[in-house]
Amino acid sequence: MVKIDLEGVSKRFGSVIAVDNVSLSVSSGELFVLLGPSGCGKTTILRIIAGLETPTSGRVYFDGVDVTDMPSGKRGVGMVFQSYAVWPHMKVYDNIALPLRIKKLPQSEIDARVRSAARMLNIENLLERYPFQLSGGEKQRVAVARAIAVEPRVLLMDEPLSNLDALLRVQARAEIKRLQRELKITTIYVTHDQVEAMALADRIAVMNKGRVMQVGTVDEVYNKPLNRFVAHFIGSSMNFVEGTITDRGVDIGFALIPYSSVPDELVGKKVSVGIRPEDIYLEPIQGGVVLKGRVVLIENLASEYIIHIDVSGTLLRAKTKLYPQGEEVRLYIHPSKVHVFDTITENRIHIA
Amino acid sequence: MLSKAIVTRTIAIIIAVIVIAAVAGAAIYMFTRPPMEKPVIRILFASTQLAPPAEQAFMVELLTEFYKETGIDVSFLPFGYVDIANKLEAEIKAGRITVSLVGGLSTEIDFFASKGLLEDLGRFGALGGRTFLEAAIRAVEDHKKIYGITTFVPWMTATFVVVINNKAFDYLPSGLTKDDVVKGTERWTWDAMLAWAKNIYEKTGKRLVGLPAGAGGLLHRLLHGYLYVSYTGYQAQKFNSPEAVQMWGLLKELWRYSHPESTTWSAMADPLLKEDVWLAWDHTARVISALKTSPEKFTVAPVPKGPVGRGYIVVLAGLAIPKGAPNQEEAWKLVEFLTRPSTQARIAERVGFFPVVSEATPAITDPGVKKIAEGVTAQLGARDSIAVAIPPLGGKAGDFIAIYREAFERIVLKGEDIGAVLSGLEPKLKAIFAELKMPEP
Amino acid sequence: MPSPLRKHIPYILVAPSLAYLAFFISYPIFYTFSLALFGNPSPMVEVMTSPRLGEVALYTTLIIATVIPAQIVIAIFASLFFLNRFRGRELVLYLFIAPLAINEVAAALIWYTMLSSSGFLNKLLINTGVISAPIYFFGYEFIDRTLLAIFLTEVWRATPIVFIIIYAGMQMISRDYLEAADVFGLNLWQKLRYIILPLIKPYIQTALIIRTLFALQVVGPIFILAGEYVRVLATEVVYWYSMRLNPGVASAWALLIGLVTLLLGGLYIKLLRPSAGAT
Ligand SMILES: Nc1ncnc2c1ncn2[C@@H]1O[C@H](COP(=O)(O)OP(=O)(O)O)[C@@H](O)[C@H]1O
Ligand SMILES: [Mg+2]
Repeated sequence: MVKIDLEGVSKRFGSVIAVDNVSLSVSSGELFVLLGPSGCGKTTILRIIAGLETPTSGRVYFDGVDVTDMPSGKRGVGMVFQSYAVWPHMKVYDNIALPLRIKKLPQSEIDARVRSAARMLNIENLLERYPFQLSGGEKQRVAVARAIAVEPRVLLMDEPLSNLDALLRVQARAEIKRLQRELKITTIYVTHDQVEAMALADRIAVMNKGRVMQVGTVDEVYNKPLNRFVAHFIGSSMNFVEGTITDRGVDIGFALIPYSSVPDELVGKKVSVGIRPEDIYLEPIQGGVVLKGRVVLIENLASEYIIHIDVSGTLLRAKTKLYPQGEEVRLYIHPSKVHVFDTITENRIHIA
Repeated sequence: MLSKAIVTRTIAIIIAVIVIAAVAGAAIYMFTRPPMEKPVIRILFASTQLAPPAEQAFMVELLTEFYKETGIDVSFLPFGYVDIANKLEAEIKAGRITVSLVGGLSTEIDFFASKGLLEDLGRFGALGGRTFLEAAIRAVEDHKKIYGITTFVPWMTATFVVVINNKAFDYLPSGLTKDDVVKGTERWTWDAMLAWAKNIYEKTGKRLVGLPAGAGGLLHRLLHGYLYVSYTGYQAQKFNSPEAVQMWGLLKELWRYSHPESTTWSAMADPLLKEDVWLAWDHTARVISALKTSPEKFTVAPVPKGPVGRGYIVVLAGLAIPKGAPNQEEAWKLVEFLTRPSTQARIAERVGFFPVVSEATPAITDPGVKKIAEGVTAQLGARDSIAVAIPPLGGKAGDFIAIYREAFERIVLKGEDIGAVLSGLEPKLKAIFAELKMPEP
Repeated sequence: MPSPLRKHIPYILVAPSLAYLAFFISYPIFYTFSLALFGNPSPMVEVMTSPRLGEVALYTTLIIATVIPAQIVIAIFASLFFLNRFRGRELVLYLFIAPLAINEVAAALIWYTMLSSSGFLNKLLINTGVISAPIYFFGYEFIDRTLLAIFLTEVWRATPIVFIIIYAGMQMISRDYLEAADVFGLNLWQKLRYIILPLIKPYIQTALIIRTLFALQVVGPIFILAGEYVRVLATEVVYWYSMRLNPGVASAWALLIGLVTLLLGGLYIKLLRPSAGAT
């Protein structure tokens, strides 16, 4: 299994900069997810790694070997296209077998590999069917089977689940995760769905407008988002409040989030303060800041509630399992769960 | 969506404009039309010739002049040969004749005469100020011998000529002069032409004789109307004869000095202009554009002669008056007008039919057309010529032509034995004439 | 409740088309059949025993069997070429299909003028000293080279129509199918063989049928380039109809064209049945 390195990769299409100076390192055997909104350049990066696109500048390395100009077919990648690209005029068996036949493998080996890939994806009964006889989920499995049957050094998947319905999606992503664990193929997985990303990823690269905003484990991007964009994109949508840094903490108007060691040069800085709904509690916590508010709306999600609370004119959302008693409530926030971003640069300000 | 009011208003405006335009147009016409004169005499002129639109337009132009000169309004009606024959026959039978003048090929007029559909033009006397060419007079005389009347007045002619690039005169074989060629003397023979072609080939290395042997070419006319007549005296009678074998021998030899692309040429104007060939035989209409483009390059000569004579096809168009036709005096005036040298010269320049009166040629101004006219005049005036007409075979014409072309293909192109080919084809040729109950020409 | 009139309405509605078919399609076909088959001797028998039949079969086969495959192959490669986006692609594309706008007779004249002994090509070669005497393409003595000229003219003139059909077919192929092939290591030839050709089969079939239909009807260019000495089915029809004034024999040859077309059409449909999944 290989380690993949991107070094200052950029791609322009005319005046559009699809990928802007991206450097990444994907470890051997890792399941690496590219996450970002539609149009941020995820597919383009994947295609550059696959060799379907040549970067305008920058290099791509597989295990330290420069593959930037290597033809796609020689790179040893398996790819699952968003549209699946299952060849319509061939039976499932032939779809999986064709890449192997091209490699001139012995017939017995081809047959063994096709059957083993089919078994892994549970499509053994579909081998004699034509693609038009398959459902979306089945096609997706065929595409995955075809990609793994070639025993690739790198497995690339471009939003493979986006065409499936919600239930199937949850089931299929678990299967992909299991498969990847089993096969230990270095895998790059593209999605715009942060839940899917977190469910699958060893590490996530969060992208925006052609740039990588942050690379890290699920915990890292969740707990320590490096900028406002990442904070906003990961997890359920964050509460943002404007504030100012003082020598005792961050003043958010209706409250002061206390910090003990505020560097002098930060005092007076305008900041955006982010608090995740799940980090707002309705019962007291150790070292929490107390806020008073009025319940405006309660969304019942069965297992939990989203409560909209008016705190001195600012609306905050809290996610909790407790049903609030009465209109007037007290809220508790822990300073360590508060994310502070520079209003202008939107970068995280480390403060404790 | 347009509102109804706007639509209504638009329509109203359009109608108003149309009405105003119509009124104005009518007014302009009323003021500018020619004043009414004494009642004009109208006559109908039916013709199998000059039917293509451009030629018709020229005729209308010509007849307008005639109208200005004489006040006779002539309607020119192009007809198919069969249609005219039927029309005349029906009209004469019914005693209500509308056509005053008929124009057609001499063979067509022959048919009308044979049915007794024509007036004797002898009573109108001679037309002054013009001398009809030898061959034209002979055709009229031939009819007179058969039907005892003057059936037609020669109108115009077309024939086949030899066009020579002037450079070729530098390679004349010994015993042949330019004068011989141009005047068509005793020494301008098919053998002389062969010697000339051979001489050119030996000196230049090029095969510079051109024959129209392509798909639409008139090669078959060369065969039955020229070579056969010059060598055997007949077009078909002596198809398979020692003289014919001699003729095919000559042609085979001549082919060796003919441009190989001849089998793709249907007209010789282009190869002459491009100087692919220096000596070419073809119909006047199919070389005229070369002469119009570069008259100074070329000389037009009568065709060579063979052992029996100078066989050639003359396509002669004549003018005849149907029996009992109305306004015969006026029709005769039109005949006079159409055979006038100046009119004849213009016909030659505009539609490529050549004059039948010798005074017309000097009146031609286009130097290329004039050159052809001179060549045609020389040919039609030559004493040793044997003029023949294309036999009128109707539906069998295609089979007749095909026999000569097949003989050419097998003898000249494929090199089959002359005697064998001719013997094989002869019965087919005879069968055509037997079927039509016609003497073999 | 359906009235009796209502029951007849559908028949009344199709009656005009039936009349049309009967008058403009069936009548001419049956007329041709009767012209071709009946007579004494039957024109069809005359044709089948004619010494020209062998020659006609040879030249017709030679032209059809070289021109059409060449056109399909060229059209396929041209389509592959034009699928790439490059600078000036549109211009090159227009130039490539320009001959479509040229009438077949005009096209033949262009090639005739170019290849004739005093034509452009020979002049160029002589002036540049490549050859000293002209190369002949035309004339009975050079009929083999004339066939080459016919081949070139037909390919030049009619390949664009094949190209347009096949190019349309290739553009219908989703780019993903080809990229998947790239990723899985298929080279250009393998892509063509395993992906592209199977997917454009219906288009190839259409192109073959259309081209065969029209190639069997080419007359003007052959008369221009070869005179009457390269005889094919279509030139025989024209020859017998307008030069020999024999509609019977002409109809018999025309009937043969129809038969050959039908036969080849059936063959194409049988051989190029699209694979089950390809749509
Ligand atoms: N072939 C192309 N030509 C022009 N622009 C392209 C092309 N491919 C992608 N783009 C542009 O590049 C940007 C990134 O696209 P893509 O990588 O497909 O985004 P994502 O997969 O993240 O949705 C988009 O703005 C897209 O419009
Ligand atoms: Mg994408």
